[in-house]
Amino acid sequence: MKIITKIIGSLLSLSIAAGCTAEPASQESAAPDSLQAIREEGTITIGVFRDLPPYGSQDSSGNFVGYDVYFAEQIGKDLGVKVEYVGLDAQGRVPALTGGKVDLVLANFTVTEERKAQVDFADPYMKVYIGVVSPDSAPITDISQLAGKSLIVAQGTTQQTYFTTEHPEITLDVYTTETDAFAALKDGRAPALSQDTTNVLAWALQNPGFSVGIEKLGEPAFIAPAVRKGNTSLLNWLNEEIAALPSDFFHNNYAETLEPVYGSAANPDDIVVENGNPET
Amino acid sequence: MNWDLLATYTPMYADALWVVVQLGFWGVFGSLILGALVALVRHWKVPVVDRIAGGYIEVARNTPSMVQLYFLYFGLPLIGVKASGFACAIAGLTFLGGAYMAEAIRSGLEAVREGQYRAAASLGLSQTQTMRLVVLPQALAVALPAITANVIFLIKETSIVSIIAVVDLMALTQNLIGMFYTSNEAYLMLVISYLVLLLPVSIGLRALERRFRRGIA
Amino acid sequence: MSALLSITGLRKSYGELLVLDGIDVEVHRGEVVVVVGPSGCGKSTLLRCLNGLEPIQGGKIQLGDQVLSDPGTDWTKARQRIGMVFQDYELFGHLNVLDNIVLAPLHVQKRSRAEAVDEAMALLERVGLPEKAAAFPKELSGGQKQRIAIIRSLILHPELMLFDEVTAALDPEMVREVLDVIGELADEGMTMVLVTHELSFARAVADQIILLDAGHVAEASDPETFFTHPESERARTFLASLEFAPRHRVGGGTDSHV
Repeated sequence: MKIITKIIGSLLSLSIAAGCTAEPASQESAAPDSLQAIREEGTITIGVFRDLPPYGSQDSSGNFVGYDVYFAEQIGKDLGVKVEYVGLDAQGRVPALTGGKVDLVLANFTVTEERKAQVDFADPYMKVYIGVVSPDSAPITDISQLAGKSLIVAQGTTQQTYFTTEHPEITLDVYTTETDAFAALKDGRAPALSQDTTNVLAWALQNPGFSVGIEKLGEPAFIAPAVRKGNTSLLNWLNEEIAALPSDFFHNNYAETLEPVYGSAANPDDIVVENGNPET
Repeated sequence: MNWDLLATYTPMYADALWVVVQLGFWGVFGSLILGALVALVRHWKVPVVDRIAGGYIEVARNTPSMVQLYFLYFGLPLIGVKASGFACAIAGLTFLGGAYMAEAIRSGLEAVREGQYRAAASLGLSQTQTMRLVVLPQALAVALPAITANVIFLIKETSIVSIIAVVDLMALTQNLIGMFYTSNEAYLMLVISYLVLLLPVSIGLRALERRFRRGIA
Repeated sequence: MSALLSITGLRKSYGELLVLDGIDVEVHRGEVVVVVGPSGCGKSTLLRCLNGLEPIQGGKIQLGDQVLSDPGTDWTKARQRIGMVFQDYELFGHLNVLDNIVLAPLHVQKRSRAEAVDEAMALLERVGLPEKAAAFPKELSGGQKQRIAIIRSLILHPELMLFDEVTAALDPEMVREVLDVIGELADEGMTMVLVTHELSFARAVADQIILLDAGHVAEASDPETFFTHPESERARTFLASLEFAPRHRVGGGTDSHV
């Protein structure tokens, strides 16, 4: 089975290499992480979250699973290469790309201006709002309730940047991993925690006694694949891939990876973006 | 390098530096007290307590300091003991440093010969006076280089407190890089801050060593 | 004349090992008693029992009117009456010479610093080392260290001085300067018990020589008797063994001090 995949892979890469030679040499082909290099190598290295279920995490046998991984598997299939996963923390995502550790990051990576200066984002495949989860005993339903208090965030997340710049009146308790951040909320170390709405919804479902008091803070943000800056060949391929995927691909992904977790707590149409179109 | 950014960052680093100074001071203070107690218990071979002290030293030295900190911060609340991140950081540094200080002080105590105790006793000094006036000053002089190394080690070890949301220099740097991707400026400030802290400490301790070691071969 | 120090039936053991087995010795005020014997005979242990550095298992030690072997003895007080000097000097390395000397006067006898320093300087003058007051022990020769150790005890005004092989660790040329100090003390009437291998010095200074052997007093007599016609067979073999190998011990030959 493996051998067959390998043969198909190499046949594919041959045909594409042949296609390339028919055209004038493009400048991207010189980039080390270019599409061509990935195909020649037969492997694409994709950074996904190590500990953020249901987007990216490892199951009991060590396999990566989740919404981002579902997409990653499809990319591997359509590229005709093997996918090698690298588990990342929130703050490890940019360095993983700039340091050349991964070709692609699919790790619940929200598009922001600061990040755009560091990496190139493809078209989005999800949208998120900032949510705030708090204990039912002392619910936080409005951001003004947190003035002068502290709020838990994970290091390197959009929430950290958002609250630092937009709400300096709130003290941030910054934890290095998502797991620690949620553990701290459970221990009652701060009145509330902020993450993407989807994440806090998922967590609140599994942790009775906690509810998402603020579901949509600010404008929606988009989650998109990210590549190293200037890696245009891979970026273009990704955009073509996203456009070409069946228009229910991410709904199916949702049904398989997110639905079991969110159940009725979330509406897939609020989360999923099909074919890179923000209005879907 | 963005110089305006450095100016913006300076007060933030000053705050974080103050956090490290406090952590370092109380951590070193705590580990010296704990270390001295453990060293004496081991030196005098106090029954039972000596065993416990030996076990403590092994655990503190052979488990990652990050795990110790996690245990204090996330583990202890499970049995109803919840302290602030800052308190846990000091407790963690004390727990870790105490073991290293204990070994340093004990080696100092063991360097003081039996004859010194006899000479002190024969002059009529009480046991407490013997320890205070004769044994400890000499033991500390011998132990001082190791203690100095431990002090520097502990101050540098404060950089792990970011995992329990205490904003030290390292956490601040990671935050700034994570949010604004200004690695060059943040790392430069980090290096400068540690130098500002560690150079005077290092020079001061070396002077202390020279002073204390006069007399001791 | 009543004895200043009287030891009766003193027994000392380390676990199963009996080191001193019924020692009886009397030391009168102003007397110099020299304890000799083969190594391991218990000489040093005997001295350490006298000022409570070693607990004893039986017998009685009395200093003047005070029975030191009583369990309730306050040794920190009693030890001020008994000075002791050790083979390895045991000066305190972290203190300079003057601070070594005034440590006990200040902290044990609670004397004023000015008064203690005055007396310390006078004593330093007396042993010829006034210029060493600010020196640290490691800067001194062995002979100098031992002279400091002697006056560190003397400043407490002890009634009895114990010398435990105080010249054994010294280079031969330094032995003289230390023995001179002890000799002067003897001349001034200080009561003392010495353990030494310097037999010619012992002969010159002692009022009484005690030969210890395997935890017993094998002979106790005046030096003349001891060295010329000892009463016991053990003393004769002891002296004979020394005459054949007098130069093999640490501290140099005895001859040079006659």
